[in-house]
Amino acid sequence: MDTLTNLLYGLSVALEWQNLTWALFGVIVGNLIGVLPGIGVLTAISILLPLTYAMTPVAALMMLAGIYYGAQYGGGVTSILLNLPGTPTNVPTCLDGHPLARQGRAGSALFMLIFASFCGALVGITIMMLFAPLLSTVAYRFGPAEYFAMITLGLVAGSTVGKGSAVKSLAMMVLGLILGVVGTDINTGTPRFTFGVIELTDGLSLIAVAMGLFGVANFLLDVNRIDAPQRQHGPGFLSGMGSVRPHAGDVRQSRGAIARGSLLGSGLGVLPGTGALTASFMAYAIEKRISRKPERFGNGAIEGVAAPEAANNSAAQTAFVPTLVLGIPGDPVMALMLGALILHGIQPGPQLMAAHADIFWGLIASFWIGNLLLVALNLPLLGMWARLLTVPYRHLYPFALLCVAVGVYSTSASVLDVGMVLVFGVLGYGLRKLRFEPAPLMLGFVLGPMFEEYFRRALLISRGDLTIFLVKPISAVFLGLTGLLIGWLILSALRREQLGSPRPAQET
Amino acid sequence: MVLFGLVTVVEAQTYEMGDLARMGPGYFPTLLGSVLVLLGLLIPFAGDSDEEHGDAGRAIDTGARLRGFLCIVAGILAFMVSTRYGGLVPGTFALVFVAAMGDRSHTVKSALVLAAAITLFAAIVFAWALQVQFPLFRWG
Repeated sequence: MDTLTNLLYGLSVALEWQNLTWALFGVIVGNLIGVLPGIGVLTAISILLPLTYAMTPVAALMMLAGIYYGAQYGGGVTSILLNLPGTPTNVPTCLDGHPLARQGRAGSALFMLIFASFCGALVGITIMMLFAPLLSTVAYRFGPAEYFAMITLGLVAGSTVGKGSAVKSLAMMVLGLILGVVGTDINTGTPRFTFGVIELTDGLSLIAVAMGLFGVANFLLDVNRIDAPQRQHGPGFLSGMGSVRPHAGDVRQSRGAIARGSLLGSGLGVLPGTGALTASFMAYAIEKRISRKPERFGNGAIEGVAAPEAANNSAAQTAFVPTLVLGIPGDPVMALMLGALILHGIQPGPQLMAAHADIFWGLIASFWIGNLLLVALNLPLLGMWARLLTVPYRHLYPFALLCVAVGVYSTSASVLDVGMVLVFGVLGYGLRKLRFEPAPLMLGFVLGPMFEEYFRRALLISRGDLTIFLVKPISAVFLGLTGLLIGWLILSALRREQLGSPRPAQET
Repeated sequence: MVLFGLVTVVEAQTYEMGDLARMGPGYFPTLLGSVLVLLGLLIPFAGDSDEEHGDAGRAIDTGARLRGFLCIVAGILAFMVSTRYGGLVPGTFALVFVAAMGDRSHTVKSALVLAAAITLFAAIVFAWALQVQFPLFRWG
């Protein structure tokens, strides 16, 4: 019953006029971002981060979270209509969603998208409500050694599970850790890596790094490259849309897929390093494997839309559990959320649920409301989203660039920070050209200071005895898992070498 | 990458190392730098996964790419300079105009129109609706 009273309390927080407005704003922006290719969730959150300074922490988090799960909905729409995934998580949705649209069944595919997303989100929220309090009681017993081990696993898993070469991703993650070192050493007060620049003693600004890497770098890459889809698909691409109408039997046919997808997504969302992306790919693969007629997949199977969408939406919700309760984000988006919380002076961790009950339960309640809003919004607005795609990129990016510049400038009123964004933008561009993914860098950057702190504290307690990490059981388990993961990576790399194929199979 | 790592290690040496039990400020960076050097050395052997990131756009020639790149960089620099000495309105106008010129399909005229429209919009949204704290105009 405790959960229920808490939830009611959360509802009262979430329904406060101001919070509700910002949550609504976030959800709409997220939806929009999901629909527009070329602007990702990370870009959107980093651009809007400075805006949150003026808000209460609760409203800020609700808005940012709204962007995150709103984008999961929006991205599916373009996947189905145009075969263009709005966010990487929606890639599996394309596989069956677009063939359905081609067959003139876009309406039923879109309905399934919204329905499955909603179900997935509900399962995710419910699990989050039940699981988070449990985890936080366990987490009270964690010492620095345990935290260190968990962060290690989170860092390694979070940076290697994504796309791209594992070694490169690890290198980016370590680079992020190093960038996190810049600033004043907390234990001794020595300024490090500031090269005499006074502004750097506070460390690099999270906002500047994020905006540079995900905002400016993207614009640098995409300028002159992204066209309005209208030109690619011909002017008639909207005509086959029809209305959102469930096809008889669709829901019955997809019931199992939605259930499996939601549970899988919720589970993966909680683990560090595996977020919505992994969940949607795995859910699709599982549906295909257990189906009695696997050949239907790829040719417009409605389960192929339902499973990944249910999975990514539930994962998007449960991913908040480790971020809020342990202070350890599972993926770069969550790392930014964590950064946002810290900017507002709130230290995530097991004490968060007790000390800031309004944030935790308010956020959960806002998930309920936000998801309802998304359904209510998406049903009538689908046509409008699709039409928005015709706004040409050449009008879009200068405006987005302006938001970046004004946003950074307004947080510090210093032109130096804008210059920093530029530096990181060019750096991010170069790295992307060399096929380094900037996302692990972000993860390392946010977690770096914590990582060092726990490492040093643990060794202080053990008087420099490194075995402390192996003697404590929980820490040993996490480090063991990390070891296994690295071993598996090396093994799979070796096997690839032996097969002599330069192009590895699609890893999910 | 190797270079980054080496620089880190070298720079970290200027701080006090300490030992495992009482780590000085230089300990952790040295460790990280070394790991980065190691990983950097591994990269050439690791093989490259040839997944180009979402290359959905049209293929473009280097000229257009360079133009886009330079214009965006120049746009931000223009924003820094004109905001510092002129306030939000000139800064916005300069940024949007210069950056928009980076796209091949923009003409001087269309970029000017876009810049003017966005400036007007920005003045309303940022200054009036969001009350962002900085002046629209500033002299010197």
